[in-house]
Amino acid sequence: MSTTGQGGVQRAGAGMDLSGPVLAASALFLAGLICLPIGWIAAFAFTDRAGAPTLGNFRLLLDDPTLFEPLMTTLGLSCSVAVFAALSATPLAWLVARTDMPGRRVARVLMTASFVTPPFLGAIAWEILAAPNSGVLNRLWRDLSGAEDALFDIYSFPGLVFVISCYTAPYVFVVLTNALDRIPADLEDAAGILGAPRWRIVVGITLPLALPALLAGTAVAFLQAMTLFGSPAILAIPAGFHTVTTKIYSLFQFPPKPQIAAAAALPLLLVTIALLWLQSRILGRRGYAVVGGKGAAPRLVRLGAWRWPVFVLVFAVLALPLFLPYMALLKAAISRLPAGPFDPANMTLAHFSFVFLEFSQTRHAFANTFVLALATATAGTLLALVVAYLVARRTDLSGRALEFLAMAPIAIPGVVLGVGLFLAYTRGPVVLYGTLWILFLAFLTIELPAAFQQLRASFRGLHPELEEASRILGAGRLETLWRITAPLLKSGVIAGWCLIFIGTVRELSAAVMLSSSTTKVLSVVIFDLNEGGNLGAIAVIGVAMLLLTFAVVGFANWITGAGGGPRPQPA
Amino acid sequence: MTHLRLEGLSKSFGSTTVLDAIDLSVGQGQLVCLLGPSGCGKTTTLRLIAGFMEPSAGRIVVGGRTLSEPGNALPPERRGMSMIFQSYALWPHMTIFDNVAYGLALRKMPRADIATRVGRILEAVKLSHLAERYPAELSGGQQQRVALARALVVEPEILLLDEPLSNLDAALREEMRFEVRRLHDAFRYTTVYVTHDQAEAMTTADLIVVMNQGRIEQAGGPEEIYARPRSAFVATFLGGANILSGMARDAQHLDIGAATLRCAEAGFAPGARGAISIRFHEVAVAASSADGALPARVQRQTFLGSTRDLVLALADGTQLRATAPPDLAIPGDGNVFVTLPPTRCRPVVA
Repeated sequence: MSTTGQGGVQRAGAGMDLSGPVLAASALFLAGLICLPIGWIAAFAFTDRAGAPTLGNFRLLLDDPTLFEPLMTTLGLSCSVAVFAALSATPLAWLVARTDMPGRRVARVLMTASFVTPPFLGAIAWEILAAPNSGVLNRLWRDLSGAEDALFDIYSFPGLVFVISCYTAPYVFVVLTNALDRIPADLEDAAGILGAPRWRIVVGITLPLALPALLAGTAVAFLQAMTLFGSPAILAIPAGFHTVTTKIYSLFQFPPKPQIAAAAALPLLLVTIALLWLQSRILGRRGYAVVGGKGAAPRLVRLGAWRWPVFVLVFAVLALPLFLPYMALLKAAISRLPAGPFDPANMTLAHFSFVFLEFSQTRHAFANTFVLALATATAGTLLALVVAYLVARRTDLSGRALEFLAMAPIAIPGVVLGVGLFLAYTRGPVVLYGTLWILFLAFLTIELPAAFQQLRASFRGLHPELEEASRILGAGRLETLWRITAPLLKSGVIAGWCLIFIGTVRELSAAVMLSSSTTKVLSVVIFDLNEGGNLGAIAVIGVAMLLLTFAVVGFANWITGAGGGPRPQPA
Repeated sequence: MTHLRLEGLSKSFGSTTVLDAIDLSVGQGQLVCLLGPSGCGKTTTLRLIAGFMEPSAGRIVVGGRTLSEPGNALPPERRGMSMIFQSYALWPHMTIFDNVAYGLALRKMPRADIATRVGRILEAVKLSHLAERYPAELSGGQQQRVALARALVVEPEILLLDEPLSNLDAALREEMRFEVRRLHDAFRYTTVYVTHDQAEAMTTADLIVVMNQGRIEQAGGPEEIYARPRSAFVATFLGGANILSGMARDAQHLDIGAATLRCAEAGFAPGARGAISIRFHEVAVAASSADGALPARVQRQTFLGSTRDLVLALADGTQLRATAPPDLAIPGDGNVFVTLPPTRCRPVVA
């Protein structure tokens, strides 16, 4: 007897067949997100004003010193930042992960927390602290020493290196502490039992094992420094020099030279791709990195008498990206003169009333930022969820291709994407410039890889048998999705959503290219206010922006955690 | 009475054939073990029965009703089966009680009935005191029993087990083997059990199906398969055996080089190559010569307490393993005599 004629029989795999079209649609959409802007950049870079093919844009890039010097500056800047960040993060990471330094957990949280600070806000805070004439620290120095000259001029190449390093060192730090956490103690004990003194174990075993992570983290620091727009725009332009990103931005000011901007964007793209490839090669060599190896938990080195001096040193270092800038911002928010003395005469609420009552742009910008962040986070999480599901359940080539597409935006610097989207959507058939949609597309593209990585990891932890067990007990595909898959993915989904939300709120480099007078977001408003020197208002907006972020992320965690969070999965 | 029938069941992935036209009948209430090395197709067979895959050819029939055939397979949730997975697949976000109650809740059973049944089955697997715990808080053996309870509580038409004991340590595994058999004796569900462990199969199964390279090598009761392996693969995989190959003189005699061996039963094609299987403990080893005994040298011996494990070489160098009594005195020069009793020498397919 065959079931073909029976009423209740479905084609098995009817749901599975759906995954084909969904896969194709997602792949097409992702490919469009990436190829459209990049394609336009390539098209512009290789044509002249009349649209005829040429290599002239690149020749100009090399011949014109006003174009060539930014390239060299960016190279020098990136190298300096990479070295500086690695040199400062390595001892910190080792102290926090491998010694009994007091307060090492707090130090770790604080270091990670400096991620939340948008780099441009950090740069502005350091303006308040170390501008040559009005900087708080420089005034303090003059008052104390009686000297005429400033102690430190933030509007300089070293100043720029310092500020960018402050906010890229955490990348190195996080990668490195993770690696150090995972080096099993028995590898160090094996050296100890052979008679190696403690310092030789650190130098000869621990650090070499963490070297791949250090290199990978340093590569990220290099990339950050190279592609960052806000900090150089705030600090380098007043100092009278350009980096590639600020130069590209200025090439869009009147009279716009999109062809040259596109040509200048291509090297950024290529170097990013090359470095990311290198990074994945370094981290991909397993066995060397001892990632996930079994073995005893890492043993902590006893610092003895050095414990407290080291503690003071570490927290003094943490003052640079965190304590000092935030104090400067808070003080600026309530002071008439940001660098003025800390007394009632200098205190004011004028900045608050300016920002929230008088300055019309703020309310628009808050609304725009909020709407964009919500929309991007929600759409991005859904997209990442679908793509991660397909990637997790398809082991064939199509799954790998989709994974590549979802991760590809990570190789596109924000400025480059901004240029590409500007070129793509300022002319027909679809004109999105001047609408929030172009910003939405930019943010979605930029933030997708992070959310995808988060959800891919969640799916990897979700054994297919957990779903199959539900199916065989009588639950259909949808019911299984609802009762088993969704609850187990909940924390990953929330984390992915929050990542996108935070990332969107703090994005500047693409936003500055793509927002128009009616579609300004907070980061762009802050950038504009900085050009007008209105530091007090910036401080107010900056703090409000951070509060908004914390509030939304806290709310997201609270509302979804109300029904009892998922339990940790068994090993 | 046949309950589950596989007819010419095949599964291919692209050009790779994983399962090659297998036929199998399982009686109502029988526990059948699919036994074989990894990659033999046993798990594929199980997943086809469960409905997680669609066959490339053939049919799966349960109680006279076709559940699967190419292009037409009932989804797993409509088969009334349950399954125990290698990873246990307990849902980490639900308590033990909720895990076990899941299948009953899907069947829209009243709350009170669910509580009664879950209580009863947790009693049966001795886990009543852990009902409100979460899976991550249980040991491996306890998780295994939860998985059993979750599968049994829905009173499945067919119970499927996919290497259910392979994640347990040796002592627990032995205990759980008997547990599986005890529960089967208590509930009598038609059961398909996939394993690569012959001891597991011997302990639990009514019917053992030895699989190799996508085909069934032999199916039969544990004692039957052990006593009368049909192929060299079955003999070595189940229990281990010496395989001696040579040229057949007639239907009962095989020339293995060092000697001509006689089998009690006929099984060779005269003049063709053939093979004999004989279990290690069936090789009789003695220090002195006896009628029909072959001279051999002891190459290696291992004292194992209750037995003595010997590796022997016949006159032409053919190697032979033997399990001898522990008190066997082996002469200093290592020369012994072995007897291969005709009733123990079985013709097998090489």
